[in-house]
Amino acid sequence: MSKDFVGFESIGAGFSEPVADAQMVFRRILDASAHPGRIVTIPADILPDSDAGLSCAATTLALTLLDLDTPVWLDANLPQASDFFRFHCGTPLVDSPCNSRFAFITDLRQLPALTEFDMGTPDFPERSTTLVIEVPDLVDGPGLQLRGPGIRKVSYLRIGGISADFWRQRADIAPLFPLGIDLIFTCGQRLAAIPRTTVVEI
Amino acid sequence: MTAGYNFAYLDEQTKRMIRRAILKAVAIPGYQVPFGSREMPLPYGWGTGGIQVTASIIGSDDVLKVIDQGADDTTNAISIRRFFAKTAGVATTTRTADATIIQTRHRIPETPLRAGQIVVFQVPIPEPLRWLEPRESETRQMHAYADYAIMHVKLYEDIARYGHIATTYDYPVIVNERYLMRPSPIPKFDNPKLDMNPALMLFGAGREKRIYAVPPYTIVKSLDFEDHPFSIETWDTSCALCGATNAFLDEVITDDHGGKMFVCSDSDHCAERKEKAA
Amino acid sequence: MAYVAVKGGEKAIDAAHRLLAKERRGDPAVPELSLDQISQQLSLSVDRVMTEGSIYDRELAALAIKQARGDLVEAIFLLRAYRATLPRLAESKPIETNRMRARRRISAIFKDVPGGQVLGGTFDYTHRLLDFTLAAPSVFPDAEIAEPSDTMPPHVLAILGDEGLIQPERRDENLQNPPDLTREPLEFPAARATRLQNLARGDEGFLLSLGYSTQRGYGRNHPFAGEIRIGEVEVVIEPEELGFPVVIGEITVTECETVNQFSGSKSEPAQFTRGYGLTFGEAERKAMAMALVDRALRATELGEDVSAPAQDEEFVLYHSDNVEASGFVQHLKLPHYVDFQSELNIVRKIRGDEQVADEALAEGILA
Repeated sequence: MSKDFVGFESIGAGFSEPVADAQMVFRRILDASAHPGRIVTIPADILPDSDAGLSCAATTLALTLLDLDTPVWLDANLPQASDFFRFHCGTPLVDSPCNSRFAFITDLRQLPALTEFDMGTPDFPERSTTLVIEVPDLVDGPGLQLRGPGIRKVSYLRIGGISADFWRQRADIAPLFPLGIDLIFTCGQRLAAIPRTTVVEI
Repeated sequence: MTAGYNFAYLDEQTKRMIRRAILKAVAIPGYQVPFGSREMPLPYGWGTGGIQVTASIIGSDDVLKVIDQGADDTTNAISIRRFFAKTAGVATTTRTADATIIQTRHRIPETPLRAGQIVVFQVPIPEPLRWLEPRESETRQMHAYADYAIMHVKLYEDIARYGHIATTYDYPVIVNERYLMRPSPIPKFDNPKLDMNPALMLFGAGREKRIYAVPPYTIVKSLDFEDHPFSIETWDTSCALCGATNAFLDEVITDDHGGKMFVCSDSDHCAERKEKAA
Repeated sequence: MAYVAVKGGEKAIDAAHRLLAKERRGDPAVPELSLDQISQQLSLSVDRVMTEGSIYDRELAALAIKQARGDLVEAIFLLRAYRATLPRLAESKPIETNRMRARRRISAIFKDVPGGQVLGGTFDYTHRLLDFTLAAPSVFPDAEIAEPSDTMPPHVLAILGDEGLIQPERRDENLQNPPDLTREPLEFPAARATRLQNLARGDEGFLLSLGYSTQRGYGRNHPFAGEIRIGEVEVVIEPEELGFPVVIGEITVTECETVNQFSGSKSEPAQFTRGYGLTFGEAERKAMAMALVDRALRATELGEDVSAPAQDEEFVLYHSDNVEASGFVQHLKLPHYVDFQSELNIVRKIRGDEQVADEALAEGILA
């Protein structure tokens, strides 16, 4: 199926075992979030055929966590994903990053400033955007040292395609905690999380 | 499994809502995330928050342990364990070391927890400031600005009045140097186990509709003062069954002439020690 | 050894369930109740269970009452737990109570009203004398039932509204959709729609006492029973794929609108204000109590002092739900011996410290 073709076929398939698959994917996302920097792998066979324009990890995350209560922002690079999100998750798609609960990024050059997303409020810091960023590499790339909750001393992660400016932006909003943006990086079947509490050093 | 109900009872949309709340709870350690708690077939106050959290995380390959007061054989622990055996068909165990998920009311097991385990606490009142300020609108502001002065004043008044802090269970802690948190009504004996624990700890309050978390390896500090450091309960005696001296002991009345003995509250830990000794 | 007693937990639970089933049935020589009998002859119990259980289904409510041995709060809990597992298929349009086919309709603020006063079947003017003829199978008198009018006249309060004497009910501009407490937790300040949903699900006894307290001066708001109507209304949905409304059934509701004196404030002119109560089935006492409490909770919005319990929204909304309250009060039956052990230790420690101090003091005096 051509990536340029936007039509009914772009909806693709969902989970083959919706209850068990969603539970398994959730536990891996939870494992990754509770251990920032840890790479978890989503088995490819739970998603027989999807052409949402997203990786296996990002697609299964969407099927696991999104529904009509989670407004989603998609970057301009993701036209075929919108049908998938609407059909499989029933999510409302929003035009403005700051109105989204989840945002999916595939074009790193067009990534909006972090402050354009919803960072929550002091009363309700959880009402914030979770950013799902598709990266070209989760094995090779600039090395990061991570510290904070979920990490015994320090953990190391290599993420390709993310600019130093991105990490500077993130460091700039860190003092606003409990406000913040939680990050999930996906690449193929792999997924890693960097929640707002993690201190990142390049 | 029970016909007519979904795996682990909750419908998938409810699980998604709870799963999203759990992820935010992990991202903001100690902060109470409001969630759309559902009526469960067990009464509010009897573990509905813990049950909803467990139902949202559990899978068919999990091994579940349920304890109340540290014991696997207390009636409510049995009832909740059966609920999951019936609705999710999962394996259950009484052995702490064998469990992947441990749902608990009022204790943290004595056996050290390991990485990869998840402890689910049943929480009656999640708000640590509630006895001092009954209004949610007020306490929410206090958390927003980390204004915990009233709690420090309360503890200080305890010291002025009794010579020491008079809170013995549900002893307040600060999580990751930011949020004041109720650890649920565990005895303060268990508070040190919260600090830098390798297991993930999730807290569910069904009636009050809040979920919060302590991720693994997170700094959890029990409130105290420099001249009145935090301390835990000690006993002058040992467990009458296994001889343990460093476990939380329950006083058991043995007759109506004032006879009593002390035994481990953690029934699995006690049985294992006896087995090893035999 | 006494400690071993708790080991029998699993067997004890099974035995308790069997015993409960036996006690529920009572003497097997007495004929068993049918759901129809409960639905028909204990219909007001059914109405209360449907209202506070938040499902309109007479048969399920009757089943819950039978299973709960007549304990209505337990029956409400059964219905709520069942409700939580049901899929949401559609959202109805607001019911039109001005198009109700009313079996009862009274107003206390005018001697007569367009459409007339319709007394309906009510306890109101019965003399509460035990009717011993009911102890035996009764022969009931044949009542003449007038056909309810298909064209119900407008609400009595609309007459006041035409003269601008009563505050109009306004749509809350901040709300896109009515909030749903069964899916989202309470947040403060709560919208009036949220408060009304909470009160509709709230415990009748709790609302009755709170409403009563406002009449005795704890947040007095000078109520009049503007109109009470009981009857049938249509439930309408408008599926997006159809694009036109469809009637899916009819339900019985009780509606109470109170008219409350109000002398005006900085933001509002002197005019009458409203309290509103609505329940499933026939539940006039609940609907009236709800209207009183609704009006009391509007204190802030109307610039009144908030000084009484019924005006305090956190107090009222957090404590109105009998499923939550019943569970938490009764959870005290669960073992708490670990926490109690910690308390025992500290009380002994404090007493020990005092004894040491007393002895030191006594030695000091003697020395």
